[in-house]
Amino acid sequence: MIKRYAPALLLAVFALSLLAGCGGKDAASARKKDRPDYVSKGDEGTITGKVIFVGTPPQLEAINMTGDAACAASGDASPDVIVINNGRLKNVFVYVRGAGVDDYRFPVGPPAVLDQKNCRYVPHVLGVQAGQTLRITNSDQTDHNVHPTPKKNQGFNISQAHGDQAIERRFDNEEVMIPVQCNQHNWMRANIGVLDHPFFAVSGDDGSFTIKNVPPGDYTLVFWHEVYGEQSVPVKVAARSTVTQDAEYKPDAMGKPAVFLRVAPTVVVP
Amino acid sequence: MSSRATTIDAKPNRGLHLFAIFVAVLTVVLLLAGALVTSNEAGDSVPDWPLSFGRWLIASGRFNGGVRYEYSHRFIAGTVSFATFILAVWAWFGDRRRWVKRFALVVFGGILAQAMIGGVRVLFPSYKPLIAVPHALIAQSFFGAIVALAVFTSRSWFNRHEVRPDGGGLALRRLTALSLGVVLGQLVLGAGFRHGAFGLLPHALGAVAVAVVIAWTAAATLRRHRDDRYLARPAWLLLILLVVQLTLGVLAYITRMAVAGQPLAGVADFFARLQLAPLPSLSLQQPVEPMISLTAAHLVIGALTLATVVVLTLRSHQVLAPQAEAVEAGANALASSPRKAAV
Repeated sequence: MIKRYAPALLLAVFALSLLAGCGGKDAASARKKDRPDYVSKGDEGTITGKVIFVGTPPQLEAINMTGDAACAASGDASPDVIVINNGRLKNVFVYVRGAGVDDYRFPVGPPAVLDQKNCRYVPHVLGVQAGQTLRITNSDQTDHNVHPTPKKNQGFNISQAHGDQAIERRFDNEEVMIPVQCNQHNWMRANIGVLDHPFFAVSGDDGSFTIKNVPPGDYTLVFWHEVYGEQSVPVKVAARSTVTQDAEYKPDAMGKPAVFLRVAPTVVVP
Repeated sequence: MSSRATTIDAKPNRGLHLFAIFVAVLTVVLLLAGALVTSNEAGDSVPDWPLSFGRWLIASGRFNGGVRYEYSHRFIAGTVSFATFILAVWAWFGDRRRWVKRFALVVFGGILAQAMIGGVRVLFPSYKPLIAVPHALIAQSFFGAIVALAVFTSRSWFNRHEVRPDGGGLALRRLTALSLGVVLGQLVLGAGFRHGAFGLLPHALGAVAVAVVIAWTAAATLRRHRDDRYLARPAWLLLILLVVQLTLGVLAYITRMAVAGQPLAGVADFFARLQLAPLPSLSLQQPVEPMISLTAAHLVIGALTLATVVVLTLRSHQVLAPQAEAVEAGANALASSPRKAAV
């Protein structure tokens, strides 16, 4: 009995999983369309801060690029999944959540660029708005394949040889984060955060970040790091204020998971 | 003891048997190549199929990084497919047994189906676990079928064997069939773990089940038929492979967690980490040695375990009397010996 219907059951499960994936996207895009456009009152504020790494930075092995001579020739084999400079953590995706930004539609910015340079994705962590064009370029003397694996968006896997034209794609649904990998060079990883609004930033070399033009309101400020995980803290953005909200990551003795330490915000109202 | 003996109305074809062994060895190489593709996260490095970057033979400049693993896997797969085609044709014309001819054709159909599933895996990367797990299962099953073909064409299979009673306890014919099922199930669980369909717990429980069933099967074989090398040798080999496989599995997991930035803190931590949910990403920055070699070796030893179980299963079904026949023989023996019956 089971044997007879097993193939049909497998097919049904496969079809159902496809249908389930399609239904979610339709509902999300319908909700987005219902939102009103945001109208600026000129009283937007700024959230700024830095991400601090507490403890001894992990000792990561150098990347083994011997599989591709063109990559090895770049001479830079330093890992990029954890980058800590003088106690500051780079590549933390910082974004806001709250009615003040989630209930409105915001204009989509110009194309964001993800380059492949020295056999790395540059930048390693990138934020884009849903519907914003993502231009993927290859500045290397070797071939790559660009392979994002989203759960709420359309994935793709495209080979991009040296000298090929830029690839342009869009992600239409919010998703934090979408991992991107080059399967030709298994150390090449990037992460793309897709949000419906433009209020996000990525911590730089000095761990600092700045999110400008945030509508006044109460928000949750979310910090995401690909190894140390996601944590959040409430922030209040008053009209025309600048909120300084630092964050500290303190990994446990084994290096993971991170213990998140809140630092009281400083609010400056001019 | 039953006086019945195995007889085959045909002569062994040595060339066909050697070629079946050759295809089996080639298949091990293919399995190893497939394992290296997964361990190096190179499965999607060539985005098109059946061509590779639009060509059958890629330019040498393309043979870099992950493409080396993926393209080698495709090339070896093509070679195995062609060799299996030759094997099927050879069996069709070179073996008198009709069921062997048909079985060889089915095996060839299996490698074609496997190639198709591999293609679907490449063309639909979003469904990786859903497709990769059947791909892994069919790969191992194909290997088992090739080994079976090698057994069916071997001289020892054609030799005259006295059909013997099995002895007490669960019949070895059933035990070996159970072993085959458990090992195949464990291969599915291992592939599911490896491709991120679920966590380690099912695979770890499967390892316990495999260890128990294999040890039981091998011990029963050796206890009942130690004097018969035809059965005893694969049983000994099974025990050795089991120990090696369990060791490799634990080592592969330990190194995998270390590479993923979550090194194990001890035995208690090892058990505490057993979970249903898939593990986080395979590696912190990139897969490294010895994780790659250990995992690939674990997969190959798993395949060899399956092959050995196939051999033992086929041989025990060939030379051991079915339970009903054994019961009848036992009853006859008792009837002809009043003293024993009284005891």
